[in-house]
Amino acid sequence: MSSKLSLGRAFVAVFWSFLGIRKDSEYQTDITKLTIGQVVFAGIACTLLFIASLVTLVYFVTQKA
Amino acid sequence: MEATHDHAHDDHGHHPTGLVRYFFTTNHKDIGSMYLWFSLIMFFVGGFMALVIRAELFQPGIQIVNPDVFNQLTTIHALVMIFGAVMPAFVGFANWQIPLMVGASDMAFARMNNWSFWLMPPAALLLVGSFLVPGGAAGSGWTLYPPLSIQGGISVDMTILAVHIMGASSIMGSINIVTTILNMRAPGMTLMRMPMFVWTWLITAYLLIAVMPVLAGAVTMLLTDRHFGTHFFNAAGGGDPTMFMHIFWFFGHPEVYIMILPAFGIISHIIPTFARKPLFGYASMVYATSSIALLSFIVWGHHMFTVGMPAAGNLFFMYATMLIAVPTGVKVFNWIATMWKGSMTFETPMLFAVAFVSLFTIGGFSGLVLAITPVDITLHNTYYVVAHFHYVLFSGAIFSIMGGAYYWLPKWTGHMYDEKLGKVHFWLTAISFNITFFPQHFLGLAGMPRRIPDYAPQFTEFNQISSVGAFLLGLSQLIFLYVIIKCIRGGVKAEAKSWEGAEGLEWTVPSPAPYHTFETPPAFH
Ligand code: HEM
Ligand SMILES: [Cu+2]
Repeated sequence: MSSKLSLGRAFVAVFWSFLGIRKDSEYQTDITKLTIGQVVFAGIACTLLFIASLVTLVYFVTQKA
Repeated sequence: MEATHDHAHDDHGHHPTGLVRYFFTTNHKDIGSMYLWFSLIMFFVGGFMALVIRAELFQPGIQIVNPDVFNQLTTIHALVMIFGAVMPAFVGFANWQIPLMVGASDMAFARMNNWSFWLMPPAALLLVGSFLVPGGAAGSGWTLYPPLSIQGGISVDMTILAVHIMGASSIMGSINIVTTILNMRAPGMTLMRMPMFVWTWLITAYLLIAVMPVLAGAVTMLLTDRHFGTHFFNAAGGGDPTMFMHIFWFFGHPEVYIMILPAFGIISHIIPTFARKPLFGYASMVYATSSIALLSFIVWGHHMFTVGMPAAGNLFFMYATMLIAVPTGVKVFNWIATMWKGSMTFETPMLFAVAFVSLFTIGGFSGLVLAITPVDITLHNTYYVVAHFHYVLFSGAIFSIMGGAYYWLPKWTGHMYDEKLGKVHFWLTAISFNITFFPQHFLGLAGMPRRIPDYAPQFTEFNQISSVGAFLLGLSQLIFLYVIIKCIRGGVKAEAKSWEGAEGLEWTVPSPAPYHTFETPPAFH
């Protein structure tokens, strides 16, 4: 698999990790396809994304009705 | 634990003996044993303070200690338990088990390992000894909030120094653990095939390296405020005491995960062993642990809902905190699924593990209750919070430590422990733990504040139940000490694989584990 595809895969894996679930077959593919660097990068990026989406949510919730 | 005294079959037997051996040792098993003994001693020291607290709280009014000493006791009890009992216990497990589990001959930096341990006793002396200096020990609470921690006497400086030293020790220990795990695994053991305990410690070590310097920075700023004319946290000089809270809890919340992730690791070994089934969802566990670690950095504000953050800040921390509970909950399901249809037996380690799963979950739920901002505004600084963190720390962290000790004692000592006494210890501990801490939920809901020596008479009954439970709980721990000593001295000979369902490299070496193991890396498949 090209490295671009597997970076996408790292994001999908991290997404599932935030839920704490990963299908075993998918995980077996993860460990052969993903490098530690990709996972760490995706992890930090997803955390920032998570923060941004919470901030956005809070922004809308605190707008005057 | 100290089962490695003279082995006839040990052909590397030219190490020193007696005190000198322990002072200069670079052996991971010796150092692991020292950490574990240190932790047990501090557990009793901190436990003694807790019993004085509970004796004072047996009735309203002031009976045994004056209010100042009471505050000192709550402060030092917490610091001793967190930094002296729970964290060193996990480091002790790491020292003993990580090299055995990954098939390494020792820790990566063996000399630094000796130094990380020997920093701990001086720090403990500073903490406990601070009761003896003029003005008594620090009374600011373990969170060391200003202004109290700026106003306190020399004992606050001793506490700050102790925190510095223990932080240095933790950082050295963590670097050692990370390096050992990343560089010294047996050929064939890829990261994703490591035992769960090794995984949880790898992540914990990164958390420690990330947040201990933050704590060190916070207490150093306190120190300069106290002695060198700065005003970081002193409102009178234009400083901001709430800034301390932000910095402290940026350390503090990851710190609570530092105290629970290795526990998750231990439980993830005990349950599969006694359910005779592999861990359900190993991959999910690894993923959940990593994301808990990442997300633990963005929830610290849930400790500060009452300090007057803007509504948007409160909401952010509320949502983030509730969402981080999801991967934690998934782990609980994984353990239950591991037990599902397993052929289970209930030896003492398993009893502690099952109790961990049920009682830790109660602590997780009360955490969720506290995470709701408007609810926390009434419950903050009440006994409800005290109940919450004892469910996650005692029936969480400490139950896992006790379960782990029973689980690996045969490997460490070469003898099986006394199963009957182990079970008595478990049941007394589990029952009296609940007698002590469950009523504290009610006290908190009824409005009893934490960290006070006196209370209104309507709180009396629940406090009395709690105090009786506490003394039972404290005394039951003497059984634990007795079982350990008895096991070191003798007992049924333990086999290399001490438990029928045990898996992993540590069970391939004889029991007790010889002084040197895996000098040539084992084959792992
Ligand atoms: C589901 C997971 C958890 C949630 C949602 C949660 C939530 C909270 C909240 C909101 C507070 C602040 C209460 C207040 O002061 O008003 C708190 C306090 C605390 N929590 Fe948790 N918690 C969780 C798990 C844990 C774990 C695993 C530990 C430790 C192993 C822990 C240890 C503590 C401690 C020590 C405090 C009190 C700190 C202090 O003020 O002295 N919590 N928790
Ligand atoms: Cu927290």
